[in-house]
Amino acid sequence: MGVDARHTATVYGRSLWAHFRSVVEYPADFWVMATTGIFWQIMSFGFVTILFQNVNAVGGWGYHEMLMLVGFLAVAAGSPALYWDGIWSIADQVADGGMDYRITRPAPVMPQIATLHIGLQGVGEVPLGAAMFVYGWIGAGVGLGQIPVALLLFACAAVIQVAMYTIANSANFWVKGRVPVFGFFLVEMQNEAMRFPLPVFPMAVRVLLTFAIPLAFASFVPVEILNGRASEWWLLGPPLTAALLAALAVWIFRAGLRSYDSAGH
Amino acid sequence: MTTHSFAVDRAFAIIALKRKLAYRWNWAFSIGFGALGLLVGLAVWRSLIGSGSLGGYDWADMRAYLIIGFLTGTLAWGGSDWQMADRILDGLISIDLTKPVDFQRARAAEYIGSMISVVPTAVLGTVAAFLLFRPAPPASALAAGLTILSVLFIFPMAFCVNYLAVLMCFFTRRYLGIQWLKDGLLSFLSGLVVPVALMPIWLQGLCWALPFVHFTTTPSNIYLGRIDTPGALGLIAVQAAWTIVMWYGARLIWRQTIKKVTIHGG
Amino acid sequence: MPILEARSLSKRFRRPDKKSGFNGALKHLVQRKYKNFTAVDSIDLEIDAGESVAYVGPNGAGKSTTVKLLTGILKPSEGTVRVMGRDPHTERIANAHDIGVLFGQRTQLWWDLPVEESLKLLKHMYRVPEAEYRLRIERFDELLGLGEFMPALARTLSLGQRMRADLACALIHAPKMVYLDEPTIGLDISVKDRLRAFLRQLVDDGTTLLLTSHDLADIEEVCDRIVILDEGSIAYDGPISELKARYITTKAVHLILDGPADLDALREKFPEYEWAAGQAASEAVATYETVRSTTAEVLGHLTARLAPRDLSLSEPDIEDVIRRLYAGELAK
Repeated sequence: MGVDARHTATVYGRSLWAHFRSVVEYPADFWVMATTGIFWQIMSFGFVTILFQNVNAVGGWGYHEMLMLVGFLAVAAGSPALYWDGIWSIADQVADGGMDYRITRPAPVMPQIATLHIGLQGVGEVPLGAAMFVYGWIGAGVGLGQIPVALLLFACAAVIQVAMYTIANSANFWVKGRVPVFGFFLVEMQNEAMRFPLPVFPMAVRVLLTFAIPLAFASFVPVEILNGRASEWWLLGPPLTAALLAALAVWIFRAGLRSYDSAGH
Repeated sequence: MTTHSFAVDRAFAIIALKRKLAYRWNWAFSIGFGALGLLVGLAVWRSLIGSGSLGGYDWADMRAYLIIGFLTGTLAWGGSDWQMADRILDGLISIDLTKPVDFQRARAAEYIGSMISVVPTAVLGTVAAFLLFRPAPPASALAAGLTILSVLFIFPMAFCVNYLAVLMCFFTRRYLGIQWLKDGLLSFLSGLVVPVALMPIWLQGLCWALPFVHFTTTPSNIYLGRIDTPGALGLIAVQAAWTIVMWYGARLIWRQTIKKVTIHGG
Repeated sequence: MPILEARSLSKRFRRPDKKSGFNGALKHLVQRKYKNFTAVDSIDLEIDAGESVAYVGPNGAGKSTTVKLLTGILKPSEGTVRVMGRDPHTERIANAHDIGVLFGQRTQLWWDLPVEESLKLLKHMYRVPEAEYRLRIERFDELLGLGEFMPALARTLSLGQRMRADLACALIHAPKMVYLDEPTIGLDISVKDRLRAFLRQLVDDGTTLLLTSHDLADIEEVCDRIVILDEGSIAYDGPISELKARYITTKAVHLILDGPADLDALREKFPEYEWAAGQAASEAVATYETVRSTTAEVLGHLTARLAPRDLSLSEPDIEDVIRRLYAGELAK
């Protein structure tokens, strides 16, 4: 099909950059969004801190480990807003036929869609989440030697998140309507459940969140690896999951495009 | 503006209710989200409390707290604040202003109409949760009655909070960020994320100085008898006071804003 | 070799067969029933390089579906499409470089970006060299007045501005084959005139054009050939001039008489014409077939016998012809 990686990267980068500049031109919007991201993380921090004023452990995890978990989750799940947020517009693009134009252009459709929007809450969320993670890291006494592992785990988590968002939103190729219901459900589930260590939940839920909807590999498992609760073998999990989900996302998105019937325009 | 009658309010409310019911997916999912939060909450607090208690909540109390939180959360997030925001952002407001209706009352009627759409499932869900999880019973029959009264105040209060948030759209191009900020404040300061009783004293003070606490903590405190009958009546009076203050506060902001701000696309 | 070639092209959609309302939706969940609906039914179409083709038909005739099949957005249910020898659906990206598309009902501008940014993004997407890009922007500015709203956000444009900007987007890479679906919809007369002149220029410069429109002035001013679609199949395909010659076979003389027109008396006196009432009481309209008599004969005949105070001539326009074709009044 003549997909040219360099050309695709140019299209992706330029589109993202143009959007970034355009959003920044409206300071009120920029600050509302950035503040929202900051506020979410302050809330997260407040939540964990309040909890630990009342209890000594959550699911066997201490305060600093919990901060690592919540911080890792914020960075992994929040950063795609800065580089893959447009994927949330699949529902809209299908509903109003905007997809038609993307298909007639000489570049892959997915990066065109993914750069249709930038979620500036990420500007607040990612640095604060990272700060929480680092604070937890130091408090938990994780060694500096783990930094390369941490970077690898963050990269895998980002890929897993991007792939999961893509898959959930691709459901809107088939489920018509302007609301990305599956995407919302995924985010809600992750926000509610994944800020706690999995041992808090019944076995069935743990299995579900590790293997069926493998959200655990984007936050819980990496932190378990870093604080030494999981054996080294688990280190294979995140890269494998990332590769598998990325392939699945591409496959499902393509299937969605094939079934796209541009109805009603 | 004297032509605005109750019949007009009712008409607005019914249209909004019908519109909301037409989007079956959103409606089903708003309940689904609440149920998800409830189940996660039950798992987490069970493991935290065990056979002891936290902030004066034992496990049975906490189950009641979480179920009340499910009910009040579903109601508080049941309205269509997006529709109000879009009226301002799309410039439809310039049409609204030519009509012989009171803008704020019309939006209130619409908003409460859309909230009513979630009432049947919220109530059914609550009853089902009560039967399944057998939480602590209400402190007394009177407490149960006052809890219901206090929950009813969520309708006007939710409108006021959302309307005040929506008025910020005069200064931005989008509502999303404002909405998320409002949602975050509401869920944290109401006690939906973590009960207010577990917070440090200074934060508890802040919570009780703001209206959000009356969305979850007030009804559950009355229900569990953490406060006596005069105290309960006092809290309900505070809910009423907040409703009035926010309602007229919104009018004041509206009057100041409409003078200064050019209407989007108008 | 034709630039575009479609052979027995068909597209069927599967539509959920459900009743309206909540009960209907519930029923559909239980027993999923679908109906097949043929939007495009075995169409053959060939377009040569440089042609300008109008593609017309009533709402729901399958015009937009055909455009989507030809541009590769949809996969045909049956039949084949070749654009410059390529299958536009399977060779999507290669084909995209050679085609330009505009859907008048929707914009391809990035909603939150200035018009200029949208054009620049497209420039990169289509790999248009900087010098060529500048030249084209200059030309678009000259012909479409693009400059005045280049820095404006797409969401703030008027409909006319938006359409002009969209046209520039569709043509920024100088495509050889251009598809325009309702490019003048909702525009005021002055913008329409400007667009038509621009499109005519485009055709004269050698671009191949397929245009769908409900506005027949678009078609007559821009296109040489017309394809009329009805219920998914082609009802007519040929030069516009030929369509006129074939179906516009009558003319009418409008006569203003002294005093009220007595149609019965006129019919009795001149049975060789069809008589009808005019707009005023004193106006009578005589319709005659152009194969039977020449205009000079008819005029001479009528003026000599009736001595009208005034008269004028009219002929049915192409709109009438197409209306009658849709209605099945004319042989296809």
